[in-house]
Amino acid sequence: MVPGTPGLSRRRKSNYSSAVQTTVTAPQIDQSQADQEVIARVLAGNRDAFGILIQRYSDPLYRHALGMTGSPDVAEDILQLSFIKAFQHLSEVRGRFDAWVFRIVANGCKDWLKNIRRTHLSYDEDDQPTGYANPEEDLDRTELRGDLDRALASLPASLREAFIMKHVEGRSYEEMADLLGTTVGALKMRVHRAREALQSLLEEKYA
Amino acid sequence: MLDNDMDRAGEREVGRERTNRPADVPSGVGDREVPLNSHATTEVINRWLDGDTTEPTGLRGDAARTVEFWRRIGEETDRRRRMATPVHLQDKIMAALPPLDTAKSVPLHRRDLRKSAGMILATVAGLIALGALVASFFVMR
Repeated sequence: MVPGTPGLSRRRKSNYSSAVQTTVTAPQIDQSQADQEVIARVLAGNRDAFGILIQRYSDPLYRHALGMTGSPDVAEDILQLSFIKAFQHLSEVRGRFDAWVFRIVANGCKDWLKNIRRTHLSYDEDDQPTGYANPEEDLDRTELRGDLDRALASLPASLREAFIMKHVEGRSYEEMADLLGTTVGALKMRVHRAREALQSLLEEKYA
Repeated sequence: MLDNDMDRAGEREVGRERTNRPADVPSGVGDREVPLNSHATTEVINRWLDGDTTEPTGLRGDAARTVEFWRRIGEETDRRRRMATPVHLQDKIMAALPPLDTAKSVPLHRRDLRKSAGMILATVAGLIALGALVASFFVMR
């Protein structure tokens, strides 16, 4: 995972996700080394250095938590608890920090989903300026957001997780397999099944 | 082949004159066949959504509607991908961090090797002394 890298943006119309980075790249290795340096500083007593890690990784982790829970408040709580846990166990980091902290957040989301059965999920639009000039278009998109949230919430956690990692976070299958400790084939299957389910739930209204 | 398949699938008017379509333009997927059934359509669309091919063109009927559907979903997922962490969150997390106990936080394998070696020597010396004590107990008996 290399948050903020241009490789995660996509030219959607021409190629849905061709620009998504795959496998471990040189900047990723550099990033991992940079993380290790920051960790060493924190462990040496420089507590403020932990802010560098938060800044570096909070965006993709927040998007993951938001996608999984559907609630900005819950996503914030999960992120906060996860970073505190990461801070407390920082000395136990082996390998990539980003993958390690991702697993903490992903497990936090799954635990939350196990404990909470939600009947309605929606993004808090108050903090999200829409940017659409046409009110009708705005209304249409707001409706799509709500419907997509509800459809995602109805999926099993593993399918939702795979779909969000692929489509919302823009990760490659190789990266997903690395983070989740499973195979590319299994993840493709999950994403395809998630698409199938979402399509059957939403296509009639939105196609 | 391309057009006949479409005819068989009932997704194109028979006898219609073939016009130039984006699919006719070489684009790396020029040899891709237009899907014959829903399974094949799903395959083509999944390959597109996975980023393995460019957006399918020249599809009609249900297949075209499915592409349009995923285009709309793609706009929404793109919007979500641009979302950032709320600005106050980093400060909130930093303020909530517990005090860092550096002595405890440094794992054994990262601690000073000389200290560890000293501890090992002391342990060995202790074990030898204990062994000598046990041996002397048996000798006395």
